[in-house]
This record gives sequence, structure tokens and C-alpha cells, in this order.
Amino acid sequence: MHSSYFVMSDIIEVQLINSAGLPVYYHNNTGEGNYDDSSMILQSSFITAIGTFATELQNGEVKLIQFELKKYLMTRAKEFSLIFTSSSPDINMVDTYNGKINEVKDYLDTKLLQDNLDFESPHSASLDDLLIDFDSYLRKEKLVVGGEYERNSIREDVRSLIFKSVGYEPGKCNIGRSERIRRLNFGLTFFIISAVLLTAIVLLNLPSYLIFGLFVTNFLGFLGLLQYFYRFCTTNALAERYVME
Amino acid sequence: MRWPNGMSWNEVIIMENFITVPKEAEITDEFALEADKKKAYQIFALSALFSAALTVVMYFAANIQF
Repeated sequence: MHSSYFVMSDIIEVQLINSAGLPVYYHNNTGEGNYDDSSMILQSSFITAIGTFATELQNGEVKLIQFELKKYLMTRAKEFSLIFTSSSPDINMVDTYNGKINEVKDYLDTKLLQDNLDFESPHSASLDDLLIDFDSYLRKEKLVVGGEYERNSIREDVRSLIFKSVGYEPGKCNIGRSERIRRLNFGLTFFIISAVLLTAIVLLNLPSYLIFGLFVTNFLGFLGLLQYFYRFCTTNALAERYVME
Repeated sequence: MRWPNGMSWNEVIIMENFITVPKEAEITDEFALEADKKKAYQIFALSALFSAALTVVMYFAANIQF
């Protein structure tokens, strides 16, 4: 049901943020571009921070935040924060918009109550389906207008946000500091083994062709050293993962 | 001033505190996987090359008659 007092044109952005503080849905009604990575990082983090403080300090819920001439109307639907951004100068906005926001919250709550579905992971298929459905609902309610919903584009941005925040760079860096040190030690250990074996071959007058067997230990030594210098683990790359410890 | 990953101090501080991101995770992005594998093969090739060179140097060094 539409509330007669609801002024749709006041809403300039709608966004949904998961419990980890990652934006999973974003739409800008003004057509001024879609998802902006850096500003969205700050916005979603800030909103998550304020919400967390409110819950921890007062066991309460923030309903309105105002900064940079924008008002952010907030509510929670299970583990998600639902935010409507408005440019309205109305200082009694919470009361004015309360009915509509609760309608959306109830709709989302009903969807989120479905058992055995993973909505927490920003890349889960169930979350994809939920957000596509949610976008259609918002459009039907005229809360979101213009532009097409580009789930893949938002997923890409969230993924790049996660990568950036942990320091992972595809093809450049996939291990953290302690992992690098481990690889340095690995490399140096094999160089020492190589040197000991070479000394043994020479001192014991063993056949010199045995030295070619040191290719293996030298290889492992260089492998460790290069992984340290490049901040990159080959095993992680082949196992399709990053470890930024 | 910016961190090596290109983020500003403020962004990093906010991210560190309020966004929970996994330090260890599987990668599903095709582009990232391809770039990672390419780099891994480069490191393998370089290691093999340096190792071969060092082994040959070791062989000749051990056979020098003083």
C-alpha cells in the first residue's frame, strides 16, 4: 500500500549493507552515476559504525543521520541495514517516512526469514535472487526509478573492495607479511641444504655429476626467495586462494 | 598520504574497524585467477632458470683444478 504522504522524489539513494559492513545493494535515483567505490566504502563503513555504536552503547537504533546536506534514514532488516538517502530539508523526516520504511523493512524481513539460505556471503546465489526480487519490489513501489539493476557490476565493486581492503592484488600480491617470511626461511633453508650437499660431494670425492642433482634444492631455494621478493605464493595461486596473514 | 594498496589513511582506519573482510579466502574471480596463475608460472620459470644457472656454476666450480 502506498502512503499518501510519501514523497518519492525526495529519495535519492537506496542501499542495503550486510552485517560485515559491505554494501550489497545500491541504487541512485538521480542518474548521477552508479556505484562509486571510494565514497561507498566510506558511506557504508560510517553507517555501520554509527549503527554499531548505537547498539552497543544504548541498545538503541539509529533512525536518522545527517551529513553533507543529506539525510540517511535507517532501519534494520535482520542482519542488514536498509538506508534511504534523502535531500529533503524536512526536519521531521523520520515521522514522515516511517510508515513507508517499515513497509519495505517488513517485506525484506519476510524474504530473509527463509530457512537454509545463505544471505551473509556477498557472492551467494540466494543473495543474488533476493536482491533481484528486492529491486523489482522497490521499482514497483516507485522507490527506485531509472537505470537497470546491475547486480554483476555491484558484485565486481564489492569484490574489488574486499581485495583492496586486505591488500590482495591479482597477479601481484597474494600473501601477507608472515607468509612472506615463511617463504624466505623456506628458500634459505634449501640454499643451506644445497651448500652442505655440494661440500659433501667435493670433500668425499663423489662423482661430480651428482652436483646436477642439486638443481632440485637450488630450485626450491629460488622458489622461496622469489616468492618472498614478489610477495606472491605460487601454491596459493594454483589453489585459487589468497592468504594475507 | 596513502597506503601501498592505494587507500587513504581514513579509508583504511574505517575499513579495519568496521568492515569484516577475510584475511584468507578462495578466489572465484576469473580475471584474478588467470593473473595469479600466469604469475605463478613466471615464478616457476624464473626459479628453474636461476637454479639451472647456479647448478652449472656449482658444477664447474667443484671441478676447477687448483
